Amino acid sequence: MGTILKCTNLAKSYGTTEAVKNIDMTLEENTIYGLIGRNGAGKTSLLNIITGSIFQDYGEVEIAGKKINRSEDIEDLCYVKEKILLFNHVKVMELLEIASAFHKNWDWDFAKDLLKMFELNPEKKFRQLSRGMESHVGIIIGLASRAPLTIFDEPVLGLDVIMREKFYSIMLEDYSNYPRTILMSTHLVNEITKIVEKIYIIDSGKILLHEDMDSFRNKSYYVTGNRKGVENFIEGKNVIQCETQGNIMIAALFDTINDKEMHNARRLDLSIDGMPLQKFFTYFVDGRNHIE
Amino acid sequence: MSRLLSVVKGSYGVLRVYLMILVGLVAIAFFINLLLGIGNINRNSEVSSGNIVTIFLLIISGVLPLYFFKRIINLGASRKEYYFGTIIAYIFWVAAFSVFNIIWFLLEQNVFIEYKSYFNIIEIFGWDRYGVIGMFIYQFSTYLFIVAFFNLVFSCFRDRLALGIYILLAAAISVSMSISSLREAVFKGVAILFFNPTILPSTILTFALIGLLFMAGWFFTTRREIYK
Amino acid sequence: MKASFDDIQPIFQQIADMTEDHILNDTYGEDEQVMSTTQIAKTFQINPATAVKGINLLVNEGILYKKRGLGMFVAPGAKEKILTKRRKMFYQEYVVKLLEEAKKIQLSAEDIINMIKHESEGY
Repeated sequence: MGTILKCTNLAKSYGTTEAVKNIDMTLEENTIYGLIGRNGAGKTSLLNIITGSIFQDYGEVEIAGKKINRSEDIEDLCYVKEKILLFNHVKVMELLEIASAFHKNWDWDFAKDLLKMFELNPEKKFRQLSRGMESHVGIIIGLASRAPLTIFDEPVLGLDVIMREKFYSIMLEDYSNYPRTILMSTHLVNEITKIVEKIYIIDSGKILLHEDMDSFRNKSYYVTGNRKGVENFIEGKNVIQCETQGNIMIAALFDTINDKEMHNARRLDLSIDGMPLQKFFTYFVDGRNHIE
Repeated sequence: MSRLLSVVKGSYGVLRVYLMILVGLVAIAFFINLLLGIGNINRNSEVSSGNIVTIFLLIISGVLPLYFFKRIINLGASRKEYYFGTIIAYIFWVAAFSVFNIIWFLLEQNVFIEYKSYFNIIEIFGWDRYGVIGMFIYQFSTYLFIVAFFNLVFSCFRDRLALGIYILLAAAISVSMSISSLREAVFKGVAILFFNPTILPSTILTFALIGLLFMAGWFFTTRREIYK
Repeated sequence: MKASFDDIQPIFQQIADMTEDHILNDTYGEDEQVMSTTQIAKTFQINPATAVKGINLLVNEGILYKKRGLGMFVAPGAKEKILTKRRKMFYQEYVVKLLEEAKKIQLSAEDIINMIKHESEGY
């Protein structure tokens, strides 16, 4: 599979604050990625650099093999910002018409379906929209553009749970029919674990981890049991969090456990459970902050 | 091409409210004054409505770089498309207002004169000396120069480099205004650019400067960062 | 039908298991079409690549076959294959675990056999 986005050694500071620190990122074609991090971790700064909204202090960005520079159009890109900027007095339909000109794969039939699905009146002026409806406009542009690289920055932020579910379903269905690379930043970690194929975890401007969701599942576990047993079991393993309550110990592992070890654990009366991404994220990011 | 047109269309979407408000206000003021003139209540000379409405050109040279720039790029335009589309919009509006003011000026000279007299920039600066074509060329080049200038000023609004240029420019202006021989030279320069009886060379010179201003505007447009 | 997934197994594995269950309980007969990966992705809100991976697992085992342009179908003899496989797994997955738990709560093998007999009579 080809590469759609390649960032090498990106860095950006605002004054003395380093927002992005030496980030490398490679996104393959036709894959859904999640970029997760806390508020202020550098997600938006990174996305702004990738899309040419702001400029890196050093490093390079390549989209579909072309290095991006300050003036040229990035043909294969659609970037939906966290908050679509108000276009006062312009109707939703007019806005879509303007946006459609800039995206070569734009599908009007799909855009019109989306308007219905998101219950948006195209004749409404932009200033009359609620926060949620503004987000819907951004989502419609992001989906209908079908750009080979579509970037959503916190797409579901202003959406209620029903609209969020709708967005995920529609995106997954359209992605199956028209594969493309979608990079979605979010801090709602649990909602995207099944939706994305790969994740990048960012914290204080650095990429801490990138991983395939399937292999992530194969190596994030809780081991619970009596203290001695757990201690024996986790020896030599990558433990990201450990908690002891009396004689009971719960260890969070980021490591593989083979069949033999599974069997052993059962014999030692240890229970092994899968760890949700959100928990892993919390331990992983929080743990690092304590160390630093 | 359709991408540039989309930029122009988008700019109109943003600007039309300002245009309507301005045209509405100027039209109301004009009719009130005309009626007062007809009723012989107030026959004082007024500034031409054709000139007042041209303020719109100042509005667009502020609104497009400050308000429209981020938004159209947000929708997927490149900086280049934004900039060329904006220049097209500038040229269109400058031409439109030049033509409108000519028509208005002729109306003032031939129809409204019965009731009221007006100050029109065309007459004041002597832009009527080469007939209708001359009026257009003088106005078009002068207005476009002003638009290009303000476009530059607002395009480098937050640029550190531009801040230096601003300070230098302000210093240069105040120095040249306070020394009388320099002051004369400045006025002469302005006269050559905009009111020169030899229309061709001065127009060419003005356009060269306009080109320079737009190029400088482009330089700063490629440096602008969009955070939100 | 399963509506959610657990955290311990990869989702594609769970998709494969679910489809096998549907074949075992005759929801899908031989040569009948199964849910497309797009439908699976949409219904369960999972990444389509994951759905493809799960379905491909079954294609590789000869449980499903692909008709070009039409979709995925249940292969002849699929049920038998699944039964053989699951029976092999049954000992490890259920019997061993059962005995481990029984040991923990001090049940003898005999107790368990009695329980099974008792439960089976109900059927």
